[in-house]
Amino acid sequence: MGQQDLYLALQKALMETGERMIFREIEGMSEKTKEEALKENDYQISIPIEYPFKGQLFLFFEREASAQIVTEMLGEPVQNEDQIKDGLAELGNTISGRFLRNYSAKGGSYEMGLPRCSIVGNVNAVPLHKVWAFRFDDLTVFAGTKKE
Amino acid sequence: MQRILIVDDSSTARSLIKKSLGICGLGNVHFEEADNGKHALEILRSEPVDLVLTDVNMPTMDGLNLLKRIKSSPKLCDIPVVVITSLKNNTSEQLLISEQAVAVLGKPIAIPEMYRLLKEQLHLI
Amino acid sequence: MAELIAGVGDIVISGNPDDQLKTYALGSCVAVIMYAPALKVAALAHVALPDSSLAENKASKKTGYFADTSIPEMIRLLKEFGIQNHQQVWVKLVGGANMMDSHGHFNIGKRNVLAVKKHLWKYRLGAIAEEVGGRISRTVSINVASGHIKIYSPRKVKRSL
Repeated sequence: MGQQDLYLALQKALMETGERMIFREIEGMSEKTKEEALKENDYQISIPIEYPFKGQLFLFFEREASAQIVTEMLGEPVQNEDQIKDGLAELGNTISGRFLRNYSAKGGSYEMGLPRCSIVGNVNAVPLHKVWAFRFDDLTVFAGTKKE
Repeated sequence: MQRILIVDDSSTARSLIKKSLGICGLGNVHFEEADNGKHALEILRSEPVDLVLTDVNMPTMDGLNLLKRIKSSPKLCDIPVVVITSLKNNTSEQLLISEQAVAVLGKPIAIPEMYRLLKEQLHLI
Repeated sequence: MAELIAGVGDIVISGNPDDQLKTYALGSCVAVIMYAPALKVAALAHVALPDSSLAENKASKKTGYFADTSIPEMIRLLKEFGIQNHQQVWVKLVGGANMMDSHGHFNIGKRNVLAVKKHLWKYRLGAIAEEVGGRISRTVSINVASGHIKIYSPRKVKRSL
């Protein structure tokens, strides 16, 4: 299974989760370099993956949009940054589960670890060259995978 | 009054579950919350609950081990346990059902699926 | 028995057990049905578009036209019938088909469904059942006494929800 399969599995996961959790549909997709896509202080969710491949799934959320994303998820205003981070981590956890289910052989098993939310510091330190950009109306989620 | 224990390391997930249960019409409920399986067992040992809803992927003690501990305890084994997880597939679902989970719901929660479970299987609404 | 018909952008409501609420020809539009079983009160809105911000004048005349105005208005009307708590009410959705609009776009039906769900969620509501999507036109009715919903479509069997 190659890059195209990864991309399709991720696209489907974001579509399913976007519609169900933040009530938005994907309107456009593109591939970008990390320098084009990411900014310092954006939120980064990393999920370690054990099976069917060993590596990580990364999701990036623009800082300005993140409070709105979690507010719409909860259906009520967020109170603080801890709530934003927890909300994005849960969103990442759900996207990751869907991604692996889509990517694994039909009905096959998969294993992943706990999501971790951090803040993007130096974009050069992000361990990806390129990311996929999934545009939902007025906000964009960036995603990428890294195999060990 | 029904007592329901929600077990998930994410406070967002616990909020979403409580909200979904309310939408399904589950009224007059007291919620207890735990952020991992060990914490859940401490709550269960101190007071009875009518239903446990648990995630799988959690630190300290995961949902599968919590399920096994509940079902092997003479005091707790009759409590229905529903698993709500992003790790739902055929293999994991079969394993959890074989360990006596009542049902496995995937994340994100589908309200119609939760409603049918509460009404037709658990008879709570 | 009275049959209360909701046209596009209308909201109808009744607490009379002899009544039936109905709306026709749901293509991309969404019928939002709210029912309070204990009090036997039903409300039905025929929602056409997701967002009123570009047409506030229309929203003030027909609050049922947009997802963001119809939901709070339905809740306000239900309160007048004695429903104070969101847990007294269930919600079901019908419609939101992928019909081509005048710009050749198919997805307005899905956008309507998502917008309705988003605004329901804000009020701690959600659909416990739905028949949405596809490419068929639907007509839907709800019996106020029983809360039973019937859906009709051309060349398809009548069904309940």
